Amino acid sequence: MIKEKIEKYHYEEIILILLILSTEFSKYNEDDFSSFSESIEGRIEFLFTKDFLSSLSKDYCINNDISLELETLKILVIKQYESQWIKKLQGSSKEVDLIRKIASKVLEDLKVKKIDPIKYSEEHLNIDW
Amino acid sequence: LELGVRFDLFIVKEQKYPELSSYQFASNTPLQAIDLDGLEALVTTFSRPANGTTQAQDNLSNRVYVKPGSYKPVVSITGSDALGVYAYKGTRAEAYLQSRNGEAVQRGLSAIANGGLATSIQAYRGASLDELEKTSAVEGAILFALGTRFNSKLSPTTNRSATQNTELYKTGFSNFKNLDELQGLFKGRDLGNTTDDLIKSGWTKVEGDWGSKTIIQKQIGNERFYANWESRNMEHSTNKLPTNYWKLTKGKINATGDNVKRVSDAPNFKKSGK
Repeated sequence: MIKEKIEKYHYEEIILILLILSTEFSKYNEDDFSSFSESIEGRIEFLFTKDFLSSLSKDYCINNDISLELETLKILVIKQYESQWIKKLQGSSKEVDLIRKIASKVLEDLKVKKIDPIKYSEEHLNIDW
Repeated sequence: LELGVRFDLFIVKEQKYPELSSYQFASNTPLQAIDLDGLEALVTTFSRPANGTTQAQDNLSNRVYVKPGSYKPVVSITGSDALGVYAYKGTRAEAYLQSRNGEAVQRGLSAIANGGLATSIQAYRGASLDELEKTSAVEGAILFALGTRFNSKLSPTTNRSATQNTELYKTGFSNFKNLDELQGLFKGRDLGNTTDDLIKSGWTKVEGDWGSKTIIQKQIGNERFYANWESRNMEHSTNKLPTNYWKLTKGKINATGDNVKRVSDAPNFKKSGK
């Protein structure tokens, strides 16, 4: 039972990362950026991998195509890593636009409505012990 | 013969303490001090500064041991230096145990400790741990002995009490009520080697696939607290340095706002923790 709850939490982490990557950053502050980077750094490297994604229950509907897109996103995001990298997502560049585009597409494929990532985190990322 | 050695040794100290006779004990302050070797009296003093901590300091090593967020008796003394062991009942100190340099001393004297009344003073280490049994006769006393927390000679009750309380106070990650207090417990520690202490304090690792992160949890009353070790090889987004730190949260692993505190030993790390 706990295993399923943890698995669900990991799935919600994936959605949260996608929401962050697809969101316009203009309304967020420094504290939000810290939370965003913590949700991504150290997690995307692990969650957006074929091994992990294939271990998830089929109920989460992460098929091969989505899995490949998530792997691509992981590579693109890791390339951005440097000091204050999360703030790059505020602006527009070829890479950032591509990240935003892929993240939005995966959310669509997963039939997840785009909402404020903070709101999503508060409402969904909770383990009901 | 032993007494002869004691007083011979004190001759060395005569120049430092000309006011004291070679035949004195504990600098003539037997109620406040411990005198293990006939040299200098060892006095541990307690204070409660305005910052809400309890501090214990001995006069020989001048080391200050701090227990945040409480004014109950405090023990943070380890190694071969002064070993302080306390038993208390509520905020009232019931016993004060101390040994030094591996030597056990037992004293049945009264003392003032931490603003409360200590009813007895005893000291244990190693083989003398069985003396805990006697002290435990003090109704309601909680005993804990640093470094020597289990002894087959003791009753199960005493062992349990000594073991539990030793670990709790040695590691110090159980005695908090909120995030601020928890954050205080992390400060001044070797943050990269804190996980074991958390586990010893009753924290448990959260199952799951956390990659490079370590997430540990503890339930305090109705609240669940999480400690998330953020191990990084890159620069943190709120800092210009490669930073390892603990992210402490209340209620949820991914809590936000006031339910998050961060602790790092990096010099430029954001202080507020928010």
